Amino acid sequence: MPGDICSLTLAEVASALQKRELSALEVTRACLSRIEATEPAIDALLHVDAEGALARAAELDAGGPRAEQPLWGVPVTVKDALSTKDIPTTAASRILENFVPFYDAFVVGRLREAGAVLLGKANMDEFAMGSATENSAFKPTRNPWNTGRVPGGSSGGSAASVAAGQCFASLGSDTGGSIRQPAAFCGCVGLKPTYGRVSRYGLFAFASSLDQVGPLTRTVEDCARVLTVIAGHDPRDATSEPRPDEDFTLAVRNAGESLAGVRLGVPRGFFGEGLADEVRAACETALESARKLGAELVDVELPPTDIASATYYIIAMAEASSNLARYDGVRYGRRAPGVHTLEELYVESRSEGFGEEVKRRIMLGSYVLSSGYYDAYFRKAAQTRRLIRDAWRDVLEGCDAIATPVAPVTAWPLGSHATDPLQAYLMDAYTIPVNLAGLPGLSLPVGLGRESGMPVGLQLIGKAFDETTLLSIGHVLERALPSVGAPRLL
Amino acid sequence: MTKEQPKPVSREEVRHMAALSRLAVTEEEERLFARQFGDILAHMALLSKVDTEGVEPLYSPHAHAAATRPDEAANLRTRAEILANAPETDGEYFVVPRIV
Repeated sequence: MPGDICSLTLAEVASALQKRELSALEVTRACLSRIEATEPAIDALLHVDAEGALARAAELDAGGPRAEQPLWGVPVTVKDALSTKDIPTTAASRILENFVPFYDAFVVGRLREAGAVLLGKANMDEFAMGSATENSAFKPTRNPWNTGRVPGGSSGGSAASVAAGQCFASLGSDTGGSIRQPAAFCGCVGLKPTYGRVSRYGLFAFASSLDQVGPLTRTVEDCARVLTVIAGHDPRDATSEPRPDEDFTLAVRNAGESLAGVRLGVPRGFFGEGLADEVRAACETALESARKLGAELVDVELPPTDIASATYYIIAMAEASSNLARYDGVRYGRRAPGVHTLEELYVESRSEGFGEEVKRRIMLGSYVLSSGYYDAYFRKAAQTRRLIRDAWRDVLEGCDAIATPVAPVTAWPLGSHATDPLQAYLMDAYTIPVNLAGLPGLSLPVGLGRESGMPVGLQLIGKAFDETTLLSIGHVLERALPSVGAPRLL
Repeated sequence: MTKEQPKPVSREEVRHMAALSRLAVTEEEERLFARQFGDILAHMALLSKVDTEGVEPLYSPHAHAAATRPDEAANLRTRAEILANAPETDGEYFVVPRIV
């Protein structure tokens, strides 16, 4: 059995652990061997805490399973933007190279309380700025389906880790698509919850009006289970909404097998110019399945994606320039040696510590907020953001969810966008409006591209705080579609 | 997709942006950023075509009621924890180059 452990779903392994058919130590050891076997090919992780994971598994085994711990004995990884007590946390930046937090992020605490075993920290684009995990200051991650291609980003390490069977779930963060797009590129399920659903306490901030933490898993039911664990009010994040607890796992199990009565909005503008044929084909096949399952497909109109993209980059960069001002070489993080004044200390530490993409975004962010440009860029973007949010809300009044591709293409070869950042920015066009509007978005694998052989993701977008509908639709569709399977990495 | 004609950003402007950001850029970065910023700002300038007359700016996707809590000191962290990741301390305080 040990050889097969890593290909189980989270629900399956959790059930075997609860019944003591598997011990936490057996499962953790299986994952650590998988990590050892696959890391040379994919580089999904920045830090593996084998010792801590084994000690934790042994401790769990000694105490025995508890039914109220839905992740009892289940090995997981988390994105390196999430603070982990006594485990290095770098956000894939040189500026935090030796940073070891003394506290857990809210979501990491929730995973531990639910009985999970933390295996390590997943690679990412530096401070979550990128869509290929090539902006990591330490190493690029490669896609388990084809190691010549990127895993997507910025939570590319999380997606690759889940797809390669290193763990049963990972947590990522999503500011403009950073959970959904790598999930799509690696053939996993990824959910960006509603803004306010999950606390960001302990998430290294990138753009605070857009950031959300969410799960990446191999099935929708697994995703629902992890969301149930991490959702909830936290007074330490002022945007965290006080709401009654919901059991998303139960909701998914009760979803049935039909989509009768479900109205799915299809924005034709998202299926036009710039969309790769193989992505269109896979998404349209999935939509046809949804229709056969009883869903009603309705044409809807949403604001143009290029307007959303321009709005997003102004807001995200402005907020980043403000959030990243804290890295000043004084209280933590890298300090440049041999400086004589405080000003030099700030400038030299930041210039040495930040990578090129982070500098680009901080500088543009400072610019759009600066005197003389604030009204034309930042204030203007905040106004178009309202128009975009209202338009999405209005469309969702008339349907249960909106379906679009996650990305216009499948995973591209490493190094493709190295010299043209704008080209890379335009790849996020389908996911960013969801962050601007604060809505939940689910990325569901719906097939392999017929040219590239790489996974394609369908994005389902729901009403604010209606993850239940989104996960239920995703679950029904997932069971009706042929599985994309797992990468043959070993 | 319509695009504004990219106007290159001057290298002087790049240096100004770096100064605002407390960053230093090399000459090579200056040249690279001047070109790339021109393209990116042209993309952002698409918004000038959107009529936003009378539209209230939106800074967060949901309305958040300001929650109040009792004003009590929590003392959650020790000095040792706070100083543990500092590049330079004297055991009690963060140390920086002489300011005055």
